[in-house]
Amino acid sequence: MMRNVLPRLIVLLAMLMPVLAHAENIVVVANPAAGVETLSRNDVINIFLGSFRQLPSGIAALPIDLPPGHPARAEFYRLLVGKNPAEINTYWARLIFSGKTRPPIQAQQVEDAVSMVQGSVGAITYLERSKVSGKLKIVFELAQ
Amino acid sequence: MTSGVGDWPIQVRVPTSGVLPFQNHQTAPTIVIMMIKKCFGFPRASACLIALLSASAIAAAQDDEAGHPVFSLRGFGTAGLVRSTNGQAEVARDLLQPRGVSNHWSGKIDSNLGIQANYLASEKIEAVVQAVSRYNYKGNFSPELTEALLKYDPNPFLSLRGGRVSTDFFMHGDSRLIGYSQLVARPNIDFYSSLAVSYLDGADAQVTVPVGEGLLRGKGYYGFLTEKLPFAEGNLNLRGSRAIGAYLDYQQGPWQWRGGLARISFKHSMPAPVGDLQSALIGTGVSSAQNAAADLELQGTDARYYSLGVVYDRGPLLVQMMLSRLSYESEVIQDQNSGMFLAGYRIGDIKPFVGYSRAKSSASHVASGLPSTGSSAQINAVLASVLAESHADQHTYSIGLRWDFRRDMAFKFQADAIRGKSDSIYSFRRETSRWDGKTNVFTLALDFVF
Repeated sequence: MMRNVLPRLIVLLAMLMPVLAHAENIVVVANPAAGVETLSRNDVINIFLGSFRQLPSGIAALPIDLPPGHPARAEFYRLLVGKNPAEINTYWARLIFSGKTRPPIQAQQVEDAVSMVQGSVGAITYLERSKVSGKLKIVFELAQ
Repeated sequence: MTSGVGDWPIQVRVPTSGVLPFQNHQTAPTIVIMMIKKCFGFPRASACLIALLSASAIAAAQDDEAGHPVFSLRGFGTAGLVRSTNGQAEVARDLLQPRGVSNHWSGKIDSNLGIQANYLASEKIEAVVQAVSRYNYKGNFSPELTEALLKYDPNPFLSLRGGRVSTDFFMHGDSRLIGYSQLVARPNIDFYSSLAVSYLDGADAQVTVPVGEGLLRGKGYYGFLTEKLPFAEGNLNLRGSRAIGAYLDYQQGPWQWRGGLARISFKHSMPAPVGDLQSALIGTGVSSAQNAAADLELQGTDARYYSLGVVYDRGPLLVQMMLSRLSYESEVIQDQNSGMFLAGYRIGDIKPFVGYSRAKSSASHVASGLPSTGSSAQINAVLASVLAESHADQHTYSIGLRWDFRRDMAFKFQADAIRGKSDSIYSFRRETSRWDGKTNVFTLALDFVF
């Protein structure tokens, strides 16, 4: 029995490999003038989930979310806190409707998020690693 | 799919060039301020709702460009169907509801609809107005103003709010009406139902400081209550009762611990049935009966709320454990200890959960000292029934699931087995002499946000 299963499993894994390899690392990017070298995972969680929005350099952090439905957005929260979009939505429903914290600013498209980070010193967003261009400082990386 | 409550569905955008929105659009903040004034002035929350809707329609019509959303209008709601298996008592969701549901399907106790407008005056100042329609103490769904506040966040450490603010005497106590924000179909009855207060007119201040690997947060609040709740066939008026409280919260990674204290100083006495009893006790001229009348007085006494909560929330796993103690100076409401445990684990889009909770109150020992004959027998009987009114001694086993079947919507199924003593009646309505304290509650709910 096991002899049959094992090769099949290997074949299945081999088929899945390209899919897995396709998923890119997500990086968190900040404005180079923000004076931040790296952020810890806790820093990134606190900023994007709104519990403490300050960069280690003392500047107020302004998190920017990619558009809803963008694959990197779901990936970012999955890798960061293991939550799917519905769970993140649930989390914000609690805070918004009890008059507490605001969710991150919603970019209309990835380019908008990038230009907001380039144009505002405390702004911070996340991208697929290959989408990072100049004038952005990578401060944290979420490995697949 | 990615979701939407954080997506600012109706939004006005202004250029990011640093120009404050109200310099461009005089009207929007004026409207919000007018709205808040109107809502405080008018007891009828329905007027607010209309003001809110029209104001947002005007504001939303204003021009937009890439930048910060300035004005947003959102909402939440639940369509819930509930029934129990025991026709000898009605299950109420909380102390604010005059009737409950028994052994027939009803949409009454869990269904609600809330609308909220946010106006962002600057990065640091925000106005929030919220109205909710739910089955209330009047026995209807007339909407009430649940939030009307100005929030000022001068820096990441400090957040100040003033106006009508939601309260969280217990952890998550300020989001009890937002079904979509919860894993369960209804906030645990053993734990939350005796927490009558949902908001206060006053102010709160929150300080957040990084400590070690986590965040230490302290919050204090002060204000006056405005709600009413049905008690002993009348309504207890909480309007003008003073509330003060604080909590300390530490969040580290997936863990969150919280301890809280709150105190309410009652401004009013219990409604007429209790007042009549007090008069009758005093009228006897017997000193022990007069002492009993004094023990039943609520006005000028305090209630204290102590709570502890621990939440683990990371990945697919959610675990909550909470303990509370409610202590009343007056003997007219029994002191109560409660605890709850909830664990859920997400598989795909479905998150099944199990829960256990317990509520136990300590019986009041007030005796009239009157003989159990003639007219004093009747006084003794009324006294006994008043003292029994707030008694709870039950535990509940819960099982259910939440299914996030599409964006901004969740379907829930829940079954609760309430196992109590026959004198456990605090969270029930219209219990008969055949009530045995045991019932099963089945709930179907559709929660949504927009």
